[in-house]
Amino acid sequence: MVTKEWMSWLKDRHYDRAPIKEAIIDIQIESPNSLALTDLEKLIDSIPKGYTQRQNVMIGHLRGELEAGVLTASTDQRRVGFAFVGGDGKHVVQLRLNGFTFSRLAPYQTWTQLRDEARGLWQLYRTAVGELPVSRVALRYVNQLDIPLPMRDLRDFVRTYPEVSSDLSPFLSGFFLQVQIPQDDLGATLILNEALLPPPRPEATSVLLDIDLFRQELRLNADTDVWDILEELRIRKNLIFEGCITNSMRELIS
Amino acid sequence: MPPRRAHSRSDRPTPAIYFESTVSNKKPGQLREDWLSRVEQSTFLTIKYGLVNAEGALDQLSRLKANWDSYGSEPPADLAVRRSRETLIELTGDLLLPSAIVPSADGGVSIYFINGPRSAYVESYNEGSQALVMYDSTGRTEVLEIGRDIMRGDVGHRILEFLG
Repeated sequence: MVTKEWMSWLKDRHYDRAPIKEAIIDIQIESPNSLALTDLEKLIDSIPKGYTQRQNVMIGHLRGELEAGVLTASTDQRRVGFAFVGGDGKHVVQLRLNGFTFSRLAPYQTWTQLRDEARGLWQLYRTAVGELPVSRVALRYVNQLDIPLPMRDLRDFVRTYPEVSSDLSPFLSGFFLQVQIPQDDLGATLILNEALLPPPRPEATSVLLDIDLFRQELRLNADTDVWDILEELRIRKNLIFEGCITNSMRELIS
Repeated sequence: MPPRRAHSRSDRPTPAIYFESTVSNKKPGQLREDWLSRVEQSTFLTIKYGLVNAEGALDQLSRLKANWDSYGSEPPADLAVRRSRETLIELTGDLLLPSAIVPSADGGVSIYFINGPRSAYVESYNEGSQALVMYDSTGRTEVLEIGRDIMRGDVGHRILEFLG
């Protein structure tokens, strides 16, 4: 039960040592064949100063064919957009034929800074793609929870975890967990990935807590709707994050 | 700490599946593919797992024996592997992941970065020195000794500039 008191606490809460390694805003458009790379290339000169490194974004396909008992494999790669790195290597923006992705790498600052930087770049992207409707909006936060060793029980720190039968050894050297949870009230879906990651130092273990919230099958013409959805997803993301950690974890990141 | 919450869910000890509606109707076998595309979307995870793979490749090179290429070449020395590992960590900080890591016939380790017709590699020699080599398909080559011709901290930027 999410109380008003809880919601108010969520809005104001801040962690000095937030474990966010990357925050991603992803907006996909209905991509018609009329859009070409040359449309995106027109943006290159308008990218804000500070976004200097340009990379191609490629998509690859592996095809296998079995004919007369002989298996042949071929690959094809094609360019689908451009990526630029800025903000002293902390910002990455992808401008693709099917959409736009903005990443903020650690150290994470604030939601307002993330949103405003992304919105400025989205408006630039809009000049190339025109009024094509938005079909999918996603907010993804990749967290790395560093837990000091020795650790008695993973459950002391996280509240979503793989439950292993008591008939098996409780000592894990690795795991990967994915849960997909509908967020019916928002018309959204949560994909939560949790796994062990290589730790930053030998005396710790690291847990990936990857929260991907999205709405799809949309047809949004107004950009204000896109940013309103992102605001809703952001509040839900905070709720999910808090729902996944314990007070011991909060103490570690406060 | 957050306010206390009502324990309305205490009667639900196990996950409930009240309907099946996965977001893209993926079959369990497609989970790996789905995860790989998620890693690709994340710069942090791409670098994190890329570094794990690169360090794995370095570990393999560190176990090579003398005459590994049947032409009498020396295996990479511990110092060359250590320098290569330091270089890898620095370059991944610049969001640069290697295209290949190979032993050098001259004794050492080469870390390659390739973009179409342009290639750059950092060679860590067995005696401890390092060089940045850049070349393109026209045969134009530039060699810089790291620490003398180029500062260590500038190597990533120089590679990115060259590869375009």
